Amino acid sequence: MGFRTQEEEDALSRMTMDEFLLGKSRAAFLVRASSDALRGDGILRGDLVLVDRSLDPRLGDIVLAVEDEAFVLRRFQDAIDAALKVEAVVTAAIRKFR
Amino acid sequence: MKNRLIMHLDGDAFFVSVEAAKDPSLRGKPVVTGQERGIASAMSYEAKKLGITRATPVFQIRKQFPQVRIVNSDYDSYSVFSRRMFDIIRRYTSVVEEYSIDECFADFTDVSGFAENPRPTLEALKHDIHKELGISVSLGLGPTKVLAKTASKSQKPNGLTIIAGMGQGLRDIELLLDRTQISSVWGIGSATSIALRRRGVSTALELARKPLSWVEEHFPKPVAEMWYELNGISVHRVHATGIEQSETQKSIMKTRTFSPASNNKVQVFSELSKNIENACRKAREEGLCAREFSVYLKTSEFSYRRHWARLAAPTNDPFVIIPEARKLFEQIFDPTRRYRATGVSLYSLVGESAVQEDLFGISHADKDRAEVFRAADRLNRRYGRGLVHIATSLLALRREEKDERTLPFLPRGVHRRLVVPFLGDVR
Repeated sequence: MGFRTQEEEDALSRMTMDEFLLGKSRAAFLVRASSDALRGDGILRGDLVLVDRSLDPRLGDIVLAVEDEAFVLRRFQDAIDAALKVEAVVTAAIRKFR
Repeated sequence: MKNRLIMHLDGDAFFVSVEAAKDPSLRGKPVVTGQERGIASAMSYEAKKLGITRATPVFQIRKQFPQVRIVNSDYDSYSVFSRRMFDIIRRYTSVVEEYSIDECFADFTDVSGFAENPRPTLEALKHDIHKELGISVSLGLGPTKVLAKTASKSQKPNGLTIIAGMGQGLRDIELLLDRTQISSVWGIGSATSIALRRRGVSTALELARKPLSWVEEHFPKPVAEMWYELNGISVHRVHATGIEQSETQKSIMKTRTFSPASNNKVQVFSELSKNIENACRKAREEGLCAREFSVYLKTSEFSYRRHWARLAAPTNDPFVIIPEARKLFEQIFDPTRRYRATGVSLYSLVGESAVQEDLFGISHADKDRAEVFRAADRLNRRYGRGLVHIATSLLALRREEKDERTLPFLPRGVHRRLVVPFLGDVR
């Protein structure tokens, strides 16, 4: 890790929230978590969750998938998930405290 | 002359496809949008199969086909998906002409390596759109706009029809044109198609086969142009649209969608005024003046009205263009309709230095104003857009601030704005 260089600091201080959250993503969508099913992964009910359709899921990613004709959030685990219909990969969760 | 390579892209049942991308429970089902208007505005292919057409009343669909899902139109989403779709195409070529919300032309003539083998590029483009937006599109590639559009229409949904390889593809073109009724050729109106039928021309192929002299003798110029286009000789060029323009730009265009739609004349003109101001700023940045300009208004049903005017002298001064734009605006604004976007295009651009001041009668007042704009541009560059602006744009700017407060992903001053569609609650 180490310290950030001055250039990196400058880049951060000029960054807007959407640049920080979206990066270069051009395929971002938002959903809201309506359950605590992924509490262990740090996603709580009510969180706004950013997903990106252009990414391919890697092991351990949290993904947006389709189950019973509805979107669900799931952890992308292993070969069993081959049946999982992945729509997008979760890139961020946003939570407000007040 | 180089053969052109023109692509036409058409979204498949675009509005309904967007709805299905946002809601998996709609996929593969008969779906209709337009609940809020009481008549179907778009149908999924499954709904079309049932015989539902545009303008079928919603109550009738409910009664006759209870299995059909009827949803409200969500124009904000359609417009975000549309913008993203066109941006994906611009990754492959900069010459993209947005023709309507779900249709565009793109010119690949100058894309290196494309002509030898166009299919992989077009497949990649389709793949990107499907992966990133979850919708399918149909593509046609041909040497002219008319042939490209005929090609894309020939195979839907999810089609990819290439008729650019004139050599061995000639037979395919003929088969395609033979199947195409003259009335469904893009650009042929009903009066013209009746006149053509009367003279024994009922398919596109029959028109293409007639001698040009015969066409010119019996029909006005647009039909002769159609003849060229059908024979693979490009008459209608692809005019690049969109905010990001290449260096070879022939126009500067500024447009903005606002929400909710408005029929407030002052408000709508204010939006237009702001676009003119921004277009003029862009022109000044590039040292260009416009001889011509056009304004357009887009209604909440996505019909466009565009008017065009020539300026007395080339200019990039919004104080000159705004009063001229007001005249056009008065002609096209209809208080019974609600508008959701305005736009302006500056055309026939010439370098500022090429403008001969005395000859065009530019007064000293204009020169002073040019100095004022240079100062304002400097301030805006330093402190952010909208610090110094023209009073007619004020309402639009206020509105913009309000929009930003309600939409957390649209902070002020970010030049590459990205609206993030919300897909709802998820377990």
